[in-house]
Amino acid sequence: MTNNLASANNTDESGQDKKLYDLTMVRAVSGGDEGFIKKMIHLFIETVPPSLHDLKEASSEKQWEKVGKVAHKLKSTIDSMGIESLKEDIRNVEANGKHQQDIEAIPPLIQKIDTIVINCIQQLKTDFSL
Amino acid sequence: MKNRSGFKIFILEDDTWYGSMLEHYLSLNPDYEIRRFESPAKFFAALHENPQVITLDYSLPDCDGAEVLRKIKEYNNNIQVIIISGQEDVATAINLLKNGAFDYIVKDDDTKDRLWNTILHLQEINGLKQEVEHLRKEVGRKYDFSKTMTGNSDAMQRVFAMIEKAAQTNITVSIYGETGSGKEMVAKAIHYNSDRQKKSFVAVNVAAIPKDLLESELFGHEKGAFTGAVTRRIGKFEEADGGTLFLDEIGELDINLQAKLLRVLQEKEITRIGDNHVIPVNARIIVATHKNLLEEVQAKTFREDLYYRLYGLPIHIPPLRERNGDLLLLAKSFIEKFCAENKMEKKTLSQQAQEKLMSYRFPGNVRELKSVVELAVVMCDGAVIEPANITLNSTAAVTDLLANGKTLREYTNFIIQHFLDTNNGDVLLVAKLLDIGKSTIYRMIQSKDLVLN
Repeated sequence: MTNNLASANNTDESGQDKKLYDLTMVRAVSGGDEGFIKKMIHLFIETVPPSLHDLKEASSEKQWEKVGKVAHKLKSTIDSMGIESLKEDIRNVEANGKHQQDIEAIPPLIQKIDTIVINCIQQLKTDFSL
Repeated sequence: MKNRSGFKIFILEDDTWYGSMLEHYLSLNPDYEIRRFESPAKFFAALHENPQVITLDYSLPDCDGAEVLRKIKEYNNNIQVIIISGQEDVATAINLLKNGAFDYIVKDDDTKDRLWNTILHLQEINGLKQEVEHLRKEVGRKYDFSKTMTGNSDAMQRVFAMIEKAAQTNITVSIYGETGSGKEMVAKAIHYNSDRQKKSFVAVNVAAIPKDLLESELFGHEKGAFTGAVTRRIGKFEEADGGTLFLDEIGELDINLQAKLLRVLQEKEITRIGDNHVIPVNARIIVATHKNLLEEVQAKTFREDLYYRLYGLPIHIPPLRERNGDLLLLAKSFIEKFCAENKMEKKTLSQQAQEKLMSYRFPGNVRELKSVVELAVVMCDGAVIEPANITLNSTAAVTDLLANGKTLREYTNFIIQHFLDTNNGDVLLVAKLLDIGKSTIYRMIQSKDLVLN
């Protein structure tokens, strides 16, 4: 919803791709502290891939309940980082895992989440020269 | 965040990323001191720091949020818990709120603002709570002696009945009791329960003021009345006008001043030293003494006419050792109060510790008991106070020991037993310390006069 706004003041350096993330929320929380924003991006890059790994692992082992839990944890991070394109998908994975329904839909969704998050991390690394 | 006296907030959130967000956001308010925990174990280990507010992630991986809430509330019901949850589940939310959670916030775009407002709101409530508690204490202290004075014994019940009677009139009250038995407490209880409560309660310890100064202390003086009287001074009688003047240790009053006091009591007016004006005073007089004034009268150190003038309504406060059963009651109430005032965990007295207190005579009465148990609380590291934590006044203990009325043989056994107990039953060492033969001790053990623990 506030996607354009944030992208506009965020960088156009890379120019090519549509921004996958939106830092409006992080900025609002930061109280203008750039160091904090950097720290949160760092934390995102560090903590999300292990969670994704857990997610994929649980899915391949058909531990659906665990899939739901990991997705639940990822949800708030994805929301706060403004990754709009995944907001719905992560919720579906969480709900499906928790209630063990539509299980066959889970692996492709996880695949999509994985790809987008990795792209997003790439973007962040470029944008913030990390 | 460095504000020590600030508002302490704990964040329990297993997601590092989200927890850091909350931590940073809340720390934007300089009044908040924030600690973040990712595991319940570390969190509970730090709970004794008594945060005012805890934000709790409901869906922790290895622990149930409802269970954590229950444990927090069990530990200290005054800690407010704000649940932050990833799901919107009305039934769960209602349940948590019923079980004492202050608020339930869903993780979404508005979380931070809601949390911010909730905490501000809580801060306000906390402030009000503290104020109410403070005022209630104040009021309780002033008006309700049943809360400030503890005692179920018949002797104390009689004292309470007398306080009530005294409070209803302006009659002069004389309080008799040993040192530390609570004479000033009784005087205050009378004052604050009488219709003079809105005016001053003025206490003067007659014994503590040099007799040359006492006159001007009581009646005041005009500028230049004597060398050093550089300003006019209002005396205690005037200060207590409309209120109560409490004269402690009245038995120590100089015989010359006794005549002057008698006159003031009869005429209800005073003259400041170096002044000719008479000033009417309306102060209720309460006197107290640990002496037997009648004996002082017979010894001609206390004026008989003043004695009868002051006798009024006599209240005899019993010494602690005659207040059957009150000792433990008082000890427990002092411990409770001391722990609460110092924000310590509640402590209790072990059976042996209770026996140790009961076996002591407390020559210093309630005041001594209070300092003994407060020291015991400080010395005790655990939740139960043991005899070793209780230090009794040794000089008093000796007279106390001698007042037990034992035979010399019993005293001997008692002393050797004491040394055995405090030296791990080391017979050789005790024999050396007491300069007696070790076979004497062995013989006494054999004849069961002594016990090796």
